[in-house]
Formats: sequence, C-alpha cells, structure tokens
Amino acid sequence: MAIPGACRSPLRRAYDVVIVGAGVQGLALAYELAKLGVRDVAVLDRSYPGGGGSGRNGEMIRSAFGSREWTGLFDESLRRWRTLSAELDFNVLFSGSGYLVLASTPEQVERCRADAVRQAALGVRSQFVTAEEARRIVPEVNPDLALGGVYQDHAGFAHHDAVVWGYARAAARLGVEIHTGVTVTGVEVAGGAVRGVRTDRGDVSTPVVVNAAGGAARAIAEMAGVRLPTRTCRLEMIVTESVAPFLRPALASLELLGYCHQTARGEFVGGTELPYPDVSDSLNGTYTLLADMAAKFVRLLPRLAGVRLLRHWAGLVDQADDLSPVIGPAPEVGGFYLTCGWVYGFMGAPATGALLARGIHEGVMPELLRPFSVTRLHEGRLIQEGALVVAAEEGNAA
Amino acid sequence: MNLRITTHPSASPARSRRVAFTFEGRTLHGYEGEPVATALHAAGVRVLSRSFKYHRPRGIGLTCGTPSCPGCQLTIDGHYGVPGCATPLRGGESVRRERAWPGADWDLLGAIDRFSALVPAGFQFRLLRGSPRLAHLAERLMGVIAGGGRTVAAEVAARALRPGLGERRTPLAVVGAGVAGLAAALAAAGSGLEVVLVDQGEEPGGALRAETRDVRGPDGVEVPGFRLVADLAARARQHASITVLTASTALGWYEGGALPVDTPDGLLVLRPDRLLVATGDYDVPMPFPGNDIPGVMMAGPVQRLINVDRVRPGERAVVVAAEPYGYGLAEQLHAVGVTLAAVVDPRPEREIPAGAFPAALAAARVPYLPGHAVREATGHRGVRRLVVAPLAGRSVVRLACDTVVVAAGRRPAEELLLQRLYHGDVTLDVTRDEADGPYSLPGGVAVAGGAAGTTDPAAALAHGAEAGRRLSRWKPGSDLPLTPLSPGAAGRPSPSGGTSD
Repeated sequence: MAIPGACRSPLRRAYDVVIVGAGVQGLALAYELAKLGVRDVAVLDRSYPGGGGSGRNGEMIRSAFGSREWTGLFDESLRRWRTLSAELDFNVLFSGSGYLVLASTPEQVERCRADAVRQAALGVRSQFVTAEEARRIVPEVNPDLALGGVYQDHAGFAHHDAVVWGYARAAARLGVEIHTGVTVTGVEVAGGAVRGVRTDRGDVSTPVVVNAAGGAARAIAEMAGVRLPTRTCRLEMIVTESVAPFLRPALASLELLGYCHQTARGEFVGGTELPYPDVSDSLNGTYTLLADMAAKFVRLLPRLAGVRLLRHWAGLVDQADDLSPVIGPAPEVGGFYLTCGWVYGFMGAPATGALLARGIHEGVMPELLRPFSVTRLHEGRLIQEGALVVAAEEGNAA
Repeated sequence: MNLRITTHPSASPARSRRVAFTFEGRTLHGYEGEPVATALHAAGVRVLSRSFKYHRPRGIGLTCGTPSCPGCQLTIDGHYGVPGCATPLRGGESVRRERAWPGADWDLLGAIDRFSALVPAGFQFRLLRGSPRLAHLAERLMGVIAGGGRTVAAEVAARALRPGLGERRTPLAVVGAGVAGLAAALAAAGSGLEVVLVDQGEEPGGALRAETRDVRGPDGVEVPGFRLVADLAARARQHASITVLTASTALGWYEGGALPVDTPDGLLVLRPDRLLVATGDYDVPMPFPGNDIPGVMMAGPVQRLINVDRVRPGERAVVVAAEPYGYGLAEQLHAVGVTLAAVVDPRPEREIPAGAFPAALAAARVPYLPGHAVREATGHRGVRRLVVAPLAGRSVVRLACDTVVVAAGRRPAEELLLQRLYHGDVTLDVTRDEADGPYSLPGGVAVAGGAAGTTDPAAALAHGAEAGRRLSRWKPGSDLPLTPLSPGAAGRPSPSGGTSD
C-alpha cells in the first residue's frame, strides 16, 4: 500500500534540514518550513508516518490550561486547528464540539474556577460551569462526578490519522521528502555544530537536524551529545464499537485521570492513567490498564456498560518532570533543534510546527516558544501548569 | 427453494426440534440449536447485514469464525451486534437486521455504494475540507446514522456489570477445544495436570465437528471426524482434572500472564503456568471484485452449513478450489444435492496434481476448469454469476450460480500468539516449515494443530497429545524442549532457539 506523501526516490546525500520522526510534530514542521520557502527538507522515520504517539493519542484539542506558557501556545494551536482542513486541503475531521474538564470534588471545582479566571485574564475563551451546566453539556455523565468544570465550546477533537496524512501530503506537495523505513543511527557533530546524520541507508549531510522522535527523542538526543532530562512513559487507550451518539464534547475527568470523546461515526475513544507515571518503553497494552479504563469509563458514563471494545493500544511519551514540551535549539550543539517531551503533542502540533519553522528559518525563537527551551530543565525552572489530566509524581502538576 | 438437506449421507446427529421466531415482523421457522444466521439462510434471507461505510449487502459464510467478521451481526431481542453465525436459535426470539434504512433488502443508504465512483475510499477526507460549518453539520448528520442507533439493552448492561469470577491460577490453560486442544488436555490430565480448556463454541470440537470424512483416531481406528471430536469432548467433560469452558472467549494474553476469559457466567481471569494455543485456523478470502456479495462463501463455513446445520448454501454453486480441500468440499456439496456449475482451480494446470478432480464429479459431468482465474462475481443482493478466464488467453467464461465457495487456503488463528510475540519476550521463526507441526516458545508455551499450521486432522490429534504430554513434564522456570514436536521433523532448524528431543 502506498503511504500518503511518502517519497519513492532514494535518500539523497545532503539536505538543508533533516527532521527525525514523521509524527505530527515532524510533519507539521516540515510543511511549515516548506511554506516559508526552505528547500530540501527531509523527514526520516524508522517506521511509518504517525506510527508513534501521533496515531496513538486521544485526539483531543483544547487551550484552556492554567499557565501563561501553555495557554499561549495552545490557544494559537486551537486557532489553527479550526481552519486546518482548508489549510491542508484535506478534511482532518476536526470537530469543534467543545471540551469539558470535569471537576468531581469541591477542591477540583475551586481549581477549575481559578483556572477559568486565569484563562480569562490570559485572553483564552473558556467558561467555568456549575454542576447543573456540566450535566447539561454532558447529559449522560454520572452526576456524582459532575460538580462543575471548565468548558471550551470551540475546542474539540480531530481524526489523528487524517491529521498525519493531511500534513504529509501537503508537505510532499511542497517538495518535502518523507522517507519511511529509515533508521537514524547517529548524528554527526563537529566543531560544536551538526554536520549530518548517519542512517541505515547511508550518511546524509545537513546543517540542521530537528529531533521530533517522540518516544525515541532521548535516544536521538544522546546521539548528538545533547542531554534531554526526560523519561519514557507508556499511555494506554481504548476504542469501542460504534454506538448511537451520546457524548458530544471531548471530556476529561480530573478525578479519574481519564479523557475521552465519541467520534462522528459513534466509536467511543478514551484513555485513563494510574496515579503514577508508567515508566516503560513497551508498546503492549496491559490488563491492569484495560480493567482500569473499563471500570472508570463505565463509572463516568454509565451508558457505556455493555459496549464492546474494538481495540486497546499503548503509546509512548518521553516526558519532562513538568510535563511540558521541550522546544527550540539545543544549547550544546549548533543546528540541533528539539520538539519533543510532548504529552499533549497532538493538539500542540499546528502552532508548534509553524512557530518552530519560523524560529529555525529566522534564527530567533518566537516569543510563544521561548518558555519551553530545554535550558529550563537544566536550571530547574519548571513550568507550573496545573490544569493537566496526566499522572504525575507527588508535588507536580496533576 | 428448500435448502434443508433431508437425507444426509453421513450419520451425524440432526437437529430435530422445529421452533418459530420473528424476523422483522414475519414468523419464520428453524431448528433449535442451529445458528440464527443459518435459520435465516434456510428461510431464504440472503442479506443479513450491510457494511458499515458503503452499505454493501452482507450474507452468511463470508468470513465466519474470524475475529473481526461483520458479516451477520443482527439485533436479537433488542441486543445489537449479535453474531448470527455463533448464536444458537432458541425459539421465540425477535430478530432484526442492522445498519440499513428503511430495511436491509432495500437500503437507501446503499446508494453510497452504487455511486462509489463518486465516493472513492477516503472520500470523507476530501469532502467539505474548505467549509468547517458544513463539515460540522455533516458530522451531526453522520452521528444520527452512526452506530445504527445502537443502544445497549438493559440486560446486556447488567451482564457487563456483574462481578467477575475473579482470578484463578491453573497449571495449564488450553485455548481452543478442537481436535488438538482436546487431545492435549486429555494427555496432560492423564499425566496428572489440572487443565482449564477454553473454547468459543457452544460445544467443543472445533472445525472437525463439520468433518464427515474418516480420520484416524488415537487407537488407530478410522472414524468420521465429527464422531472423533465428540468422543474426545465427552472424555474431556468426564475427566475430573479438566474444566471445560464453552461459549467462552480468551480475550487476550497480557504481560504478567493474565488470560482473561469471557464466560457465560462472567469474566474469569486465568493465570496459567503453562499455555497451549490450539486456536485452529480459518479461511483466507480470495481477492476479486464482488468477493463480498452474499452467496460468496468460504469453505469452512460452507462445510459447517452442510454437515452440522444440514442446510445447503444455495442451489447452484461454483467451487473455487485453489487448495486440495476445495475438491473434497465440492464432492460433499454434490453429495447433498447442490448442483455444481463448475469446479474452478486457479492454479496453472501444471501445478495441479494429477487426479485432483474427484472421479465422482467427473462421472456426474461437473464442468471442470483448471487453470482459470477468477475475474469477478456479479450480482447485487446475491451473487448471480462468477466470471472466470483461462490464465492464458483472452476468453472469459460466465458461470451462472447463486453460490460461490472459495477454498483459497487457511491461515493460523494466531492472534493470542501474536499478542505474546509482540511483548518481545518471545520470538518466532517465521520461516519455519508449517509442516513441522506443533512447536514451543520459552516459558511453558506451546502451539499445536491448525494454529501451528497443521491442516491434517490426524496429525493435529497426534501433535496435540504430544504437546499435552510435554507440557505436563515441563517445570516452571525451565525451557520447554519441544521444538518442533513432529517426529519426522527432527534435525530441522528449530524456531526460537529451542532444541528437539
């Protein structure tokens, strides 16, 4: 089967930019670089486009976070999501059906109330909702778990495979070469700057390498001698058979560490997490999480009882201690850029691709990306983002 | 047209109790215990369902027995998505078809398929890409069609919410109670091991339940296949050390060794010390235009239809025999009164063994077309013609028929195994010769019968028994020296680094 956008000619010996990883981050960046007129961009992937986290995530999109850093970047992304199908000339099935972060305890209600106030101050369109309003937005939700929340009526979800295909095709149309089945085995560094990459299909010289390798980002960084203080964790998700529509918006539960939505054709898609990060580089679904997801989602949406599972899968995130992405140049090696450490990488891709492309093209990182520089992790200046629905260690965001 | 077989050449047990049920407002009759899909087929209902996206008609026998078969999902007593080919008729139930409006016979949504040139694969990614508002409206509309209005019945929800049966440690779990699994369970239990034997079917026996031809049994005596497995199943049920779980599906095989089983009484999580994968095999469909039209059927489901359910697949059939067992099935079809329009073998004539075409069919002047490839099947709600063409030459032959039986090969039902292989703690040599028979993997795991690529029932019986004996000798923590098991295969390179003994 032909892979959309994949290059059929052999790998060339030199490119202006080599992006490692044909996930949504790498492909969005490649597309935006080509749009800026950068020629000879190659995206290399050991597997197929979207084979990692880009095709394994929960597909959900919002910008109602708690920190200036996150809201800035993700609000820009949400703006781009709303016109992405037209931009890429490909229907990515974006659904602006809304996104509700659900609070189930008085403490969570207060947190949501504070988040909504902060979001308003940061110019993010969102609203605090009461228990009654939350139940009206999601009538099928277990009322015991719906004490309030934060709602974004123009956020939602998109079809993650379509996003990958859309970016890949659009990038290829602009001359980007997407090479699949190519494993990067080394990064050539001389005089403090990138010179090229070594691959199992030969060496390639390039002055710019972008690490967009998802779950493998730390390994790629190590090849260049770049320190990436992240760790690889496993997340798991399920999808059910199609059932009559009952859940309009995307829904995240702070109490259950769960997030879910129902697609236009009726499948329920969601994932939950245990209260601690699952440090693993395995792609196996576990029975522990399968049972956790089944129990939690039936509790959250009692109507799911008896609905059959179609699939269950795992994906990897390579996450930093503050669960925030790592974007921008690596300080140790000139020409080596990072867009990794992503936990919310799918929803963040449209903005990051465009902004990082501009940063690489102009040599100066745009304002919205600067807080995500890797140096923050080296210097212990962690981003304080409190509105995530992610398993975290004590003392971090939850 | 009466498809019921009144005089069956074999002595396999016939179902005798005739019961009534309601089908979309009509009263139909069938036999208690036969699959609901069979009862509908025998009553002349050819379109059992519609495909999800293009609303193409779906009939019986398409990919029965495969894990993802959507061919005959029915709504029975308000329970949607019930596999009609695996649900026994009890009598009195109300049966409806799904995913069609106003009905599956005349489905207006089927227009999507008639205009498929306008809506090629992936059309949803092209439509409305420039108009977010229209896309949003379309999404809402699709939401109404999506899921076919499926809502879980209260009874199904209550079943799902029952407390499970908890966890059970067992020395040996055998998944699949076909001939190999039954033989393995009996052999292991005979060596003193406690065994849990799991099977999806209402009754144990697997594919051999539909085999009327003789198979050499454990004592060297030839008996019809269905009788052999019935006897083994009776012995397994009587054995004090064997727990037989029928109508039970092993859902997966997870890290840490959990093997959750969906049983009629609730979810049971087995934690086996040893595992035998004896999940059998299933038919591989053949790629040609129209290969999903109702009436195009796989060999395995057809064999079950005629020999277990005693119902003819149709009145006039073409058998596409790309494998030897297709000829055997053609003979059985002929014997139960199906007119054979032709037997087609798509292999080049020089590759077809001499004498492949049964003498009985030749004597009955059944047209035989060796060296003919299948071009397409035509028909809308049922197949009307199969178009074939000689491998060399430009002519085509149009064969009028209401049934096409495809025997294009079988593949191991290896999902459980692949799940384990994907864990990365076991590797499988994919180049191994399937004729080598059963084989083992590290950690007390063995594979036997159709799941190991064995197609001969007598060999599957012997290999299953051998695997059961060796598993019973295996001690947790050691390697299982059983690769490969087949005595004749000693000295061949063994998979996964094990040794033959």
